[in-house]
Amino acid sequence: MTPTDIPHVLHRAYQQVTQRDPGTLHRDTDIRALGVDSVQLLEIIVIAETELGLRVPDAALGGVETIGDLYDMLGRAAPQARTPLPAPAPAPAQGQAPAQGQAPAAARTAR
Amino acid sequence: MTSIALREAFHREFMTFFERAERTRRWNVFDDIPWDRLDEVPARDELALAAETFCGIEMFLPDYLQAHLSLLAGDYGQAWFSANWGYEEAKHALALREYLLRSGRRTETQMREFGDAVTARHWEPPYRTPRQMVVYSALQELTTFVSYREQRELARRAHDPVLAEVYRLIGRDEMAHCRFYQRILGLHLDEDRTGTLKDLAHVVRTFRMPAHELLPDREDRESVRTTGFGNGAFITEVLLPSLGALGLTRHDLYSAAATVPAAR
Ligand SMILES: [Fe+2]
Ligand SMILES: [Fe+2]
Repeated sequence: MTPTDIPHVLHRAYQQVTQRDPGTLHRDTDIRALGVDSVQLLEIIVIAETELGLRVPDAALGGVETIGDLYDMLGRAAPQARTPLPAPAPAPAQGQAPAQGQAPAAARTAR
Repeated sequence: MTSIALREAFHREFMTFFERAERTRRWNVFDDIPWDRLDEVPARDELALAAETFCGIEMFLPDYLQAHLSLLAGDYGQAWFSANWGYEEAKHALALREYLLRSGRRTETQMREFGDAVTARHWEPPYRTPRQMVVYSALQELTTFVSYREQRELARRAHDPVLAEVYRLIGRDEMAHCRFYQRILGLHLDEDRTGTLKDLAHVVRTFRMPAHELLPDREDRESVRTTGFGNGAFITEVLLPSLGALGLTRHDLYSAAATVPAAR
């Protein structure tokens, strides 16, 4: 994912949180006017951060009013810190698949 | 039923809370409010309306208390906390009522009619399990603290020393209640992190402050409800500090809750 994916990711996050299709999201649209409350907005931001591999500082969360603010905030966000890699696991025996459903360590987010 | 170990831990938390309350936080409506400065109280309708609104919300205490106690059978620590909490909350409604009457901002008849209108309605608890009610209470107490802090500042700016002190005393209680519920929630997280995080996410998604909608002349009171909560302040003033106090981030909240439907 790259910053150019931000509009697409936000569109999907909006749908996931509100169960509604927002249509085209214009930069100057007021987020509250879309019927999104502050808790839903936070959840949208968390989903977008996770998908884009970004981390927005807490202090920036209070200042979002429009879709453009959201794009800009995510555009400015730092890449998410990665968890330190655990000690390497023994290599799977030849032909053995890795455990299903487990994300690669580098994809897990730091606390 | 909550485990014995958890119930014993709740009891220890209650004793810590109670000792601190008894030693450092007791106040009374008759002596600790500067009633001798009533002549300085300004005739400001918005301050009186806010005091009456919060008085009304606090007057649903019997419903709040019943809801908590009915969920806490066999849980000595939390039940005793609720009894003590009820005593402290009772003073909040009384202090605001006394302020309105002694300052002349409301008459006895007005307060009786207001009280009748309030008690004609019934508050229903928004959640059905003790743990979800703990989450709800932790958020609600902190939200209430923020509201009273804002109202105290408005009273202070309007040069009303009596109301400012009423709000200070009440707000300090609300913060102590919030801390207690946060510690109970911390114990729940230690015992069942995934289940507690799911409850936390569910309550956060559905959280509403109690009883505003039950008050008479609701539309006139809307600005009182929202004072201090513009522009995402619930997130920055309540939710993120609450998560921080529990050693959690917003990512913990939503990762554990990913399987819970987001419908509200
Ligand atoms: Fe209270
Ligand atoms: Fe309280």
